[in-house]
Amino acid sequence: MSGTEDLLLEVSALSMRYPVRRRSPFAERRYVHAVNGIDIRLRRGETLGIVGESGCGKTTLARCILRLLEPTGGRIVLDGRDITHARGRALRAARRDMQFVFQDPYASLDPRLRAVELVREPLDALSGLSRAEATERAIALLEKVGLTRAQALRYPHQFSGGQRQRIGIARALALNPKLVLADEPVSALDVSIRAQILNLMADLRQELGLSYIVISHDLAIIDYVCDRVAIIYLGRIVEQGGVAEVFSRPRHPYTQALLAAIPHHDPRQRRRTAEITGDLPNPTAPPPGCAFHPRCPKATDLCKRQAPLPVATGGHEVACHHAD
Amino acid sequence: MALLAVSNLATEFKTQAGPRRAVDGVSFAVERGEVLGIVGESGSGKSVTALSIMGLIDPQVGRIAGGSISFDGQDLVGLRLAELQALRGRRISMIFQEPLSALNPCYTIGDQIGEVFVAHGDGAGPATRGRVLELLKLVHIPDPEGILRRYPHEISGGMRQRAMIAMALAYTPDLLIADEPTTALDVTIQAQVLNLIDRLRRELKLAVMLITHDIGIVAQYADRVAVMYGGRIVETGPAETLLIAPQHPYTIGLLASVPRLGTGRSRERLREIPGTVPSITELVPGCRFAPRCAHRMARCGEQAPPLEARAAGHDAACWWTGAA
Repeated sequence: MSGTEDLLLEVSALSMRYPVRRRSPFAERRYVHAVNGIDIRLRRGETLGIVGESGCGKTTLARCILRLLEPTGGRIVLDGRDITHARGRALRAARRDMQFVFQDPYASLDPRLRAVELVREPLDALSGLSRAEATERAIALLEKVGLTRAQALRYPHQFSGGQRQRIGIARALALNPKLVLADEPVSALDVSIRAQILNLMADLRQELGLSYIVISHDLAIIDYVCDRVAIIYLGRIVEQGGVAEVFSRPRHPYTQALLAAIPHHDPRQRRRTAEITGDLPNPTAPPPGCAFHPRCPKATDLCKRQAPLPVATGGHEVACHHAD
Repeated sequence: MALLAVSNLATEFKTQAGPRRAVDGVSFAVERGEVLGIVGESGSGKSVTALSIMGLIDPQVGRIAGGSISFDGQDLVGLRLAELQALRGRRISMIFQEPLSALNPCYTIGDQIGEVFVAHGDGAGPATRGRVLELLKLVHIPDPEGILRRYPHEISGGMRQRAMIAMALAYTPDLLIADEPTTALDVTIQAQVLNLIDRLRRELKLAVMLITHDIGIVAQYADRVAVMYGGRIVETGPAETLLIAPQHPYTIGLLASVPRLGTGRSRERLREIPGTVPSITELVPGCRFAPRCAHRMARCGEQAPPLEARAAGHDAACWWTGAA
């Protein structure tokens, strides 16, 4: 990748570690490296998928990028500004440019506010619009996401899950963000409703020129909405590249295992693929060398000793000693 | 004769608007060694069907209002509690979606599995401990001796679900009801648990009711499929024909609305099913799916269509017969 491309977000060597509570003040100080040296580049208008299993650090990564957490290492540059340690006014400005769509539309909307008030809240806080202007803009946003003017006066419990997620999206769009992070945006919704929200996100991206980072464990959804994908295992990116490339020619054994584990939709193609054994290791005591080696069918002595560095070939990056 | 034959089952709950049927005239059968996949969204009645079979409908809020549940020739509807308790956990077992909330946090895994034997009058003691160890080995739990002494919060989600399956298998039941057994698990762990259930079905000749909203899971693991919507079965048939040539507009829409790996790259819009899933208090006359259906006719709003054969063993409940 060249330096001339239109980068919206550049994350380099990002780390976030949390101290582990010690049993005694004399015990050795230990840390969980929830995010351990992650590099991500997102071009304007592009959608990046982040895939990983529970506990891999994907949500911590999102919270660092949004600066809900202050990372303990590395750099986050948003639209040319370093926001890694931004505070006060600079942080508020950065937050205008980045918004979050939450997983659970039942838990993330204040039940005491009407739909229009929910969408107006960020406008009141950060936009400087008058009350009447903010209300008009909020209603326009609700209409943009497929709700009606009449529905704007209803409370969250009067909406279905899909409609609530539409409100969550309208709220995220209120301040004209450049980047929207969506953490499992449809996994709490009924299957027949998911397509409505995924199509809406695609339409809004086109219309508003948004960039998305979509976090999901559902590879088919990542495949559908994303241009590029990063696969995370225990705080590190093990493979990243164009979605079509990574999913049709996965090179890391973990990506291969993830793809093989998805049940195929065609009952005529039944396969009992070699499942990978074991669980995600304990993040407070990660295995030495490559963190995936205890579950990896290709692991050798080298993998136990030395963590592999990412190697890129044509925009497809893999961190594995034995990549295909 | 089928091991389980549910006939015209109706289960109703008290609501502020009066009694409403969550399951309304459901009939199906499961043979020994067979996996019946039950597919549906929230409110479709799939879990209530399972709870009705288990006799777990809370009499304070609901009751079985009609129909019969014939298990090995015996009707379970109207059975006394003691008679039900003799069957549950011995001949019929159920595993739940969220093993963390289904397990008691105050007891070790060993004690909880042992409890099944105690409940059926087999007492505790060294012999029981041996049987529990056998069960943990059966479900491929690594280090079964260690897990025996652990509490539910101390082990991973995949291990908890295995422990729950071990508990369900204590007496080698004839029928295993699995209600969204892997929804709370990561994909690599999901594959392990589903392959385990499939292996047990083959080795122990279990009849399995596999309740899920994931089309891929039924495609890979079910012999036959029943699709539920609004408390009724709208389509049922062998997995191969139902998923390849669906007949009911809801099934057709559901299959088309789910992104699949590989097909997403075409960037075609996902087909949406408009509207939302009806709630139990909504009285939809005629076909419950009619308000969302693209093939709706005048008749659909007046008269509920019966399940009728479309191919060998493949039935659909729809007045429209235009599907190829």
